[in-house]
Amino acid sequence: MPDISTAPIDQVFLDELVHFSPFAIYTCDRDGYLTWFNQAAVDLWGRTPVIGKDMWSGSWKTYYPDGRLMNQDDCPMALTLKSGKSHERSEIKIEQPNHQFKDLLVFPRPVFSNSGKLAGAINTLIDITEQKKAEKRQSTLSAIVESSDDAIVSKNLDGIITSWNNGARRIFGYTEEEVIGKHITIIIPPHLRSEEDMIIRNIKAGKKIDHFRTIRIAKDGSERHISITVSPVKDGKGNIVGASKIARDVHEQLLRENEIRLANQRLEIMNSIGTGLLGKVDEHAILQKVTDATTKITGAAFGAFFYNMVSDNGESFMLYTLSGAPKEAFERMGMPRNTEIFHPTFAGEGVIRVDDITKDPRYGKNPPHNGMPHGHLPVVSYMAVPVVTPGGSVLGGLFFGHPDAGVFKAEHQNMVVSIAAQASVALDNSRLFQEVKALSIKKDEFIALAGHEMKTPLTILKGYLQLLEKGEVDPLKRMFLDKSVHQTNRLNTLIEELLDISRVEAGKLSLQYEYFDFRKMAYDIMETFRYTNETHEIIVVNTKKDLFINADMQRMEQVMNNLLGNAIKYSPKANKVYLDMDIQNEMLTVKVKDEGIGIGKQDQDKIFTRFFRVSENKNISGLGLGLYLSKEIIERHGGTISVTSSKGEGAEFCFSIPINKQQGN
Amino acid sequence: MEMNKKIYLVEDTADLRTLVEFLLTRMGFNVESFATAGDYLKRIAITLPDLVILDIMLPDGNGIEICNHQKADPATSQVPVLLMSANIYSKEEIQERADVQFISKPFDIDDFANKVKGMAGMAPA
Repeated sequence: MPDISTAPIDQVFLDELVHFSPFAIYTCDRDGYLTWFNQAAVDLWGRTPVIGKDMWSGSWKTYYPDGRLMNQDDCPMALTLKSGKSHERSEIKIEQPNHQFKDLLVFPRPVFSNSGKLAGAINTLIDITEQKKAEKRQSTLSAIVESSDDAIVSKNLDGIITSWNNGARRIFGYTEEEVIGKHITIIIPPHLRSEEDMIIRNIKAGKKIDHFRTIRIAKDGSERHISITVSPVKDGKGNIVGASKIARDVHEQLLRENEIRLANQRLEIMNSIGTGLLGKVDEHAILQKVTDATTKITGAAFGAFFYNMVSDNGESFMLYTLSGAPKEAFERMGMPRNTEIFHPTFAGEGVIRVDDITKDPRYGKNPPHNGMPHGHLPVVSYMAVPVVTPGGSVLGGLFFGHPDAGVFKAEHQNMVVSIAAQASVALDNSRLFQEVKALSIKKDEFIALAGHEMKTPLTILKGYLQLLEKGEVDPLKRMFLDKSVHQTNRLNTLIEELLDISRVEAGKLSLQYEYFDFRKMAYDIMETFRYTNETHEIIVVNTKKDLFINADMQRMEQVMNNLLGNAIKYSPKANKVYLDMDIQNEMLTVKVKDEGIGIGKQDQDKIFTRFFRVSENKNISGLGLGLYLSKEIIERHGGTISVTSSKGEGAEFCFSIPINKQQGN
Repeated sequence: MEMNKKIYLVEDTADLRTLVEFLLTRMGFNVESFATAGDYLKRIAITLPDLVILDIMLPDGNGIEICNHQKADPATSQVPVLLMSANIYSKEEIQERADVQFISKPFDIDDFANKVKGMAGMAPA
């Protein structure tokens, strides 16, 4: 060793040097027993060894660098003494009694006497724990950076790329060698260059940029949808010297988001169809909605629903609804016929979905057109879904076309099939509804007809009875005849009520307005009640002079007859009915109060509906039409009618009408 | 007096025809009855009455149409017409005026008699 000092060293200096060296130093005799150690060694071992007793080393436990426990006899110091050769730069790991681990670089050297015999050995221990930790962290970080799917790129404040990981190579296509030292704009599309200025501005201000969605250009010129996070890189003194950028390829994510958005859109459409169809009973509205929605959902250029019309020459299909194209586009065409393409749909054999119909073996076989007729909207992608009723018959088909190939996918098919199923249920409901409506109309027609048929015999009966009355008859026979005439009148009232129902239903209950004294009319009615009902007394509560109103007098008589008749009929154990009539604020208000059986809360809304009769009153006769008609008449006069009652405590019916409503408004 | 005044009665129901005939005859009118519109139209083409009492629903015609036709024809327009029907809608379909009136079935025979008296009296003799 020529270049280090060979001059003798003073013993005092030497002692100072070894005792207070920051490096752990110890010595062993040739048998391996520790003979000396300094304070740094004690600190490193975490214990004070016993001179002449501890062998090879003062450490509590020793390990190989990979963590295996090392036999003390195999430690570098032991090997040095056993072999007489130095084992400098050996790496070991030791454990202190407090279970702290230290990584050490050890330098055992044999020491020989002047006679050349092995006298012992010295060892210097260097603590490399921190260095090892840093190395490990560094390699972990590198591994993370290198194995990341994300592009991790660093650049200086001038935008020059300083590092480039595998992820960056994968996403952008450039190798590390190709881009290090180049400006970052190599991957920024020209129209987005200003972004880089913004990013650098933020970085210089110490701000991080989080999840910024943008587009970069790969080596092959294709666009990459990425999300970038850019953070400032600081030097040891905290100065910002560059930026690290993590870019995530969000192309897949965008596709997925797009899928989700589309799926949501479809769900919305499906849902709107579901709820939309629920309330619909109009066949055309149902089919139009279904055609529109399925055309939208499939992305078809146009869609149509054709009815399955069976004619003499097999099948013919009638265009019913169209979406995405004007009706004129099909007007000049003949209806599609029973061809190989169309037949399976109208036979309900299932869905036909073809990427390019013009290449389909079934296409173009039928004269005269041998394919689409001239002027037909261009169809390449084709899909046809049969609409089958719950009963299994084929109602028709939904047809979709698009000028590009391969537009319709399995998912479109599934959705259309499910909508078609909903539609067929809705159409079935529509058909049932139409049937019920037709039956109801028939019923009203029947009631009207039956009523009229009854009137002629009634006229004859009444006429002859009246003639008999006019002749010479004894008082008993006269009474019989009176009662008979009275009953024909009652019969007529019942028939009129039935006819009124069909008039109301047909919207033909017309009012003939006239100016009359309601009070006088009421008194006239009370007069007839006095003749026919001896059981009850009608007491007028209010004694105002006259109550002139503009209304249909006959109809108002009908209402009063009904209300007073009910009051008497439903109070078999009482003998009084109270009538209150008054005009205030241009409104006539009439109240009819009885002390009868009353009406339970649950029935109070229903008594004004037709044919309704309170169930426990079966022994009281009636058709259940009077209050329905009264309500109709009052409302047609622009008024309201209501009831106040509780069970067993009588009822009060009250109606109000404007006194000056003009005919027709 | 109503003597010599002629009334044509068109009614397909025999019992009602008999009743009305009886009433009118007792009132002193000269009544001719017809069960069909066809027979009636043949007769009025020859001789005009002072009043026609016309049922609306006839097996071979509709009283309102016959009435309208008759009112539009100068030969018959002067003859007053009393329409009878059970169908109250019919009342809304016709323009009631002094010489075209409506009575709904079933009617009170006194009301009927008053109406006939009034209408037959206004006809030209």
